[in-house]
Formats: sequence, C-alpha cells, structure tokens
Amino acid sequence: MGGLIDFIKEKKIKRGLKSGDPGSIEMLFEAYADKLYLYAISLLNSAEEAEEAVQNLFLKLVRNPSVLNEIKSIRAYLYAGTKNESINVRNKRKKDLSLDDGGLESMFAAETTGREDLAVLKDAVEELPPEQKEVVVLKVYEGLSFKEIGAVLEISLNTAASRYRYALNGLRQKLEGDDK
Amino acid sequence: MRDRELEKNLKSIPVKKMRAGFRSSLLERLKEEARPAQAPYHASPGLVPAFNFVMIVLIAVLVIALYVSPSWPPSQALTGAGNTAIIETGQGLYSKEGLAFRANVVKTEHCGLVSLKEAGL
Repeated sequence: MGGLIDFIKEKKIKRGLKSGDPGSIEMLFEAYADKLYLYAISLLNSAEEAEEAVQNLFLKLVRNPSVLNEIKSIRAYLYAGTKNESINVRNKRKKDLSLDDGGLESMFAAETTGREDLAVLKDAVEELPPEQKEVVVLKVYEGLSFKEIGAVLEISLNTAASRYRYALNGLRQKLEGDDK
Repeated sequence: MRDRELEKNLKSIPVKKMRAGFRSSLLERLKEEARPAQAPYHASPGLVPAFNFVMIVLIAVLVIALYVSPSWPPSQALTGAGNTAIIETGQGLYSKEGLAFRANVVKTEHCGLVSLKEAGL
C-alpha cells in the first residue's frame, strides 16, 4: 500500500515540478533534503561540501524539471543525483586545492549517547571500506531496498546485498573484538 | 549480535543534519526559482501530435482549394478601393478584400481599376 501511495505522491510531485508549483519542490525538499545531505556527507566527509552537492542537485531539478520525463523513480533519481553531484564537488575540490583532505568530518553528530558500544560502532562504520559504508548508509539510514541501492549505485541487487552482509560482519567483528 | 540488533544500534547513533539557516534559505531559493517556470504554457505531450495532424490537414485542404480555384494564382498583385475592383484579363474579378468572385464577366481585355457596377455585378 505504501508503494502505491509513494507512486501517487511521486506522480503529483512530478506534475507540480513541471508546472512550476513551488509547493511541489517544497514537498520534495522536506521529504529528502536531510536524507540526501546525510548520504552526501558520508561520501564527501565534509558538511560544507555535502550542502553544496544537495543544493546543486535541487537547483538543477528546479531549473530543468523535464529530466523527470525520463525517470521512473524520483527517489532513485535523487540518490543517484546526489552521488553524481558529490563526485562533481569532490573533483572541484581536487582542482581548487592541491592539498590533502584535511580533517575528515564524520556523518555522525558529535553528541554522545553515553553508550560505549555505540561510540565503537560509530568508529567502525567510518572505518568500513567506502563501498560497504555507502551500502550501509543507504540501507540503514536512508531505508532503500537492495533493488533501489542497486539502481543508485549501478550494481546488481546481489552485489548490494553481499556488500551489506560483508559490512555487517565487519562491524560485528569490530564490536566483538572490542569486547575481548 | 544479530543483524536486527546491529541495525537497531546503527540507527540509534545520532547523525548530522543540514544547518537550519542554510536549509531554510535554500528552500526559499528553490521556491523562487520554481515560480518563473509557471509562465510558459506546456502543452500536454499527447496534444502535440494531434495538433500537428490537424494543422497538416488544414494546410493541405487550403492548398488544394486554392489550386483548384480558377482564379488562382493571380497573375499580378491586386488592389482596389471602395466598391471598385481590378479585373485581370482572363482571370476573374477580385473585390477589395481579395475575395475572388466567380463572375461571369471574366473575359475582358480590360486590365485595371473598374467599379463593381461597371464589371457587371
């Protein structure tokens, strides 16, 4: 049922964006801005650049809503677009600065929960190989299915699922290693 | 630790959020940029082929009608004023508005400005 509602909502948003309805872009922004920002910061390790990537994505969409004619799912489009914009921002950073990355920012908030195991888990996520971390972010924090992850990352459903499995195993090992 | 428990723990770690000021200013900008797109009318994609087809048919009918008409094409530019008309040799009678009359009086050696009365109408 949720799928049907999402489908109807997407249709409405697509129509609204094409006719220049500010309410539609607001609806889309409110639904996805924070999620896309989190995905971007997990890729870029920079809050400022993540904001830039999300901004570029939404501006492109507003300025050229006809791109929606060619896409099936707005959600998949937004995540794939965030990834592309993040790559663009990263390439620009490399051109602008021939320095190293400097301090990498975490996607996690500085605030602590007081739980030692979560602090370990936080570090363990940051230390995952990038392709595994990306799948964990999309699956756990963004709520995408393996099929959607596959579409966003242009990999098969099985590859997405196996990367996730490797990531969870890695995290589990880190936690258990920490316990010993 | 089971997968579900691990996922639950992952979800309970607080994550960063977009700065509130940046978020609201970006949203305002997006709403502003969305508005100008309202002005141009975009026909529904389904309407365009139908419209094109109707236009092609209309143009074809018009061309055939003009071609079949005995008074087409005029051999020279036609002008007229008031209730006068130009009669062209062998072509026909034209009113000021350029409408062709299939008048009986089409055969004349006269070529120039004449009154409709003089032309026999």
